[in-house]
Amino acid sequence: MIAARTAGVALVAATAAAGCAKPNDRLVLRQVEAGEYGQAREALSGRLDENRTSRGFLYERMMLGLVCLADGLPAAAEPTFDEIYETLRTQGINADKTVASVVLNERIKFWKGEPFEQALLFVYVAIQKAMMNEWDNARAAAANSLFLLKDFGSDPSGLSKTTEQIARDAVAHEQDPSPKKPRKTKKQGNQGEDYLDEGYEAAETTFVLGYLMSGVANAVLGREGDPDRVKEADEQFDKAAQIAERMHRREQEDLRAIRRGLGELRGPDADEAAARRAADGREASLSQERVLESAAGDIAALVKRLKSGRFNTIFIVDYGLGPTKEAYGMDGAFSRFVQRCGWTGREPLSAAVDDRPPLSVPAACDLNAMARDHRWNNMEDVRRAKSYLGTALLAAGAGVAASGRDEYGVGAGMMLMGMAMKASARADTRHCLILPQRVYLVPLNISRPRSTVTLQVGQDAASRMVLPGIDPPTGPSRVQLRYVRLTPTRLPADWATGGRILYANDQHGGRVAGDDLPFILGGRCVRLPTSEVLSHYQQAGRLMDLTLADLQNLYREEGIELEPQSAGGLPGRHVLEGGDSLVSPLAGTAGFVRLFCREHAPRRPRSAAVRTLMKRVREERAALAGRGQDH
Amino acid sequence: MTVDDYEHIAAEIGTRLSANMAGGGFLAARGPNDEKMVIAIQKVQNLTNDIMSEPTRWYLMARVRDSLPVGSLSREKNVAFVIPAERLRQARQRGMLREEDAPMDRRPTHVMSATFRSVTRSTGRERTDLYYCDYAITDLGSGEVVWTDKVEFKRAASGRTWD
Repeated sequence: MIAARTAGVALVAATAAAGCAKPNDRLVLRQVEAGEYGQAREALSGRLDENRTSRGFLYERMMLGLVCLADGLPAAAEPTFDEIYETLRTQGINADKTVASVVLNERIKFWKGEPFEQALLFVYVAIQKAMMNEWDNARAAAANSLFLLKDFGSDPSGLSKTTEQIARDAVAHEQDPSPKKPRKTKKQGNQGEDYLDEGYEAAETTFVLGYLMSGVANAVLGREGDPDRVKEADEQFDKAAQIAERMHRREQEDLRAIRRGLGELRGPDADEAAARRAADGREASLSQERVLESAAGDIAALVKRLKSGRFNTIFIVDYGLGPTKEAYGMDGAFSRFVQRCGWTGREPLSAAVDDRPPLSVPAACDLNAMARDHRWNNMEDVRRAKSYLGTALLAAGAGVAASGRDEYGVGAGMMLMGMAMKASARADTRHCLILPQRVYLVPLNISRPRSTVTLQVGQDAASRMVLPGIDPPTGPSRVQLRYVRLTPTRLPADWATGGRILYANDQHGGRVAGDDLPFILGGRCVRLPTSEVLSHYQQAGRLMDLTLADLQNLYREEGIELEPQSAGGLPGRHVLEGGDSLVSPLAGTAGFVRLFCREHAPRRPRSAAVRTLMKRVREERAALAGRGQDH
Repeated sequence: MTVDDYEHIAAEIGTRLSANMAGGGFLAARGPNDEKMVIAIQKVQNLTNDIMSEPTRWYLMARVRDSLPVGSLSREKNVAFVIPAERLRQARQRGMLREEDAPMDRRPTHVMSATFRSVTRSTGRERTDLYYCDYAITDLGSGEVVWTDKVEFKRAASGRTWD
């Protein structure tokens, strides 16, 4: 009994270590689904996993960086993304310019993410730098996303191999008696890993978004007078169009292969049970794989617009929620990404500036498609399966439980291995829960101050977001970039579509009704208290007897931070949502809209000084109203 | 690149520019009564595959300037180094302004710039990055590059990787 209990405990511990989503991750997911990025930042900051050997180290920072960007705070995101960048660049690329997911450095083994996560992270770093107008750094980051991929080829039907097919090939390679390359020495590595290390071809990336982002960064640098950057930009844009065309053709071929396969499986000689299971999977692929006939053509049109230079504002728009990672097969030894319910498809994004006709933009990146492709996944689960389950079991089909056939000889094998081994073999399914399903890159021209941009994906009304108060860019490059996370919800949020700025802030130069008093005194101004801001209040007849020092002291009495956050700081919640920060998100982001375009409850004063002054302000207002002179 | 790399680059370039100025170079014919030469310092342009922070980029230029005999250049050659107006404003806001950074006359006649490039090579279990750092002083009136020099170095990153 004691032995059984011990085994049970070991099984539970091993299962936990295999990496289910932590409660905090799920909390952050719920907050992101509601667009509450301030709460998500709070949930993540101060609780980051500091253990570099843990996957949480990367994934928690990924989430924190993404919610800071979504909240329009690129400066706050900088330390996090710089840390991520350093992790991704450690050792970096392999001899054949592919990437690896795990690095052993100075005896510390740490995780760098699946290849598709690494590529996306490099682009998010580029986005953060571009939002800070560091276009050369954005170029560096985007260029790093264009590493080569490990392609293990296609199966006999012409479809790209799955992970379990690759596992079978690895086993077959190992058991093949025919002459092979010279055995590696023990120092060089395990001979059993030969196929996984050498059985692939280094293939060109299919990351269209990376090429587009790299092209944009080069194009902007080219506007500052460097003709080599203009040339490099055009090359990157052309590459994006070529890859999109190639992927479109491949998807068409895959569909034909699936249809052929279904026909064969339904033939008279097919094993009925196997045919049904396989057919279910492939038909699901067909229905989920909505290939738009014009998809490649739309990317070509986008490239044409980018090469023409007819833009001064780039929007990077994230939509939906990306695939989740699940374990499958015998003992959950393998892992795969499956699309989240309801987050599929590739409808274009509509983007309109003020009352101009909208621009239709195709998705530049579909994470469902990327994560399904073995070239964008690592082979860690295959190695683990071989290591824990043994080659013999895999050869017997133990690792290919997806077929549902029990050819394993499992009983004897598992009794030999022990229950704890089964749990240890389980694939690690921890991943970033808040990655989007698709990403769009939208080039627009903002020519008037305080313009409004309206975004919507296809017919999804819940995705609609109205972004008011966007000015044309300033600065030498005359190009600005904004990242927008469309709230991944199925319920439309009023604040996302209101389109009116309700609180005066440091990112908006226009007037707002009620901005003649600070929010802490019952008004609608959340600007930092400066002499200019005080002058504005006093020109409206408010706070006439206050000096700037008096005004600033009121904020300090309330515990409100007055020093603008530099790149090293992570602001807390904004005063409008009950926090102590006055840092304003950039105009043109979801963070700006969720804070300044919806009503907030009045602030309850904490200090006697503010309470006294509020009372006086209310009395003055009442007196003015009585005289019919209130604003 | 590491902090030591930045220190090495800035020290190397500063030494070479000082030697050029002391040995004549593009300042050979100048005297104290010549028309003032105002050299505006730009931050480093990064064309490598590494990210360089804003402070790092300004540091690399400021460090070069600090290694020069600024006082004697001003007295003997009527040469001054200034920083761009935007950087000046930022420095003032942060209380980091130095007196010599805000001369009365800020009309630049020349600009000192630097561009960093890199090439990455991978063999075996190492990645090697080759860096090429190019500094120049350009006459804004004629567009002529009156001085240029470069530093090259390489760095290797190591660690076993696998999938």
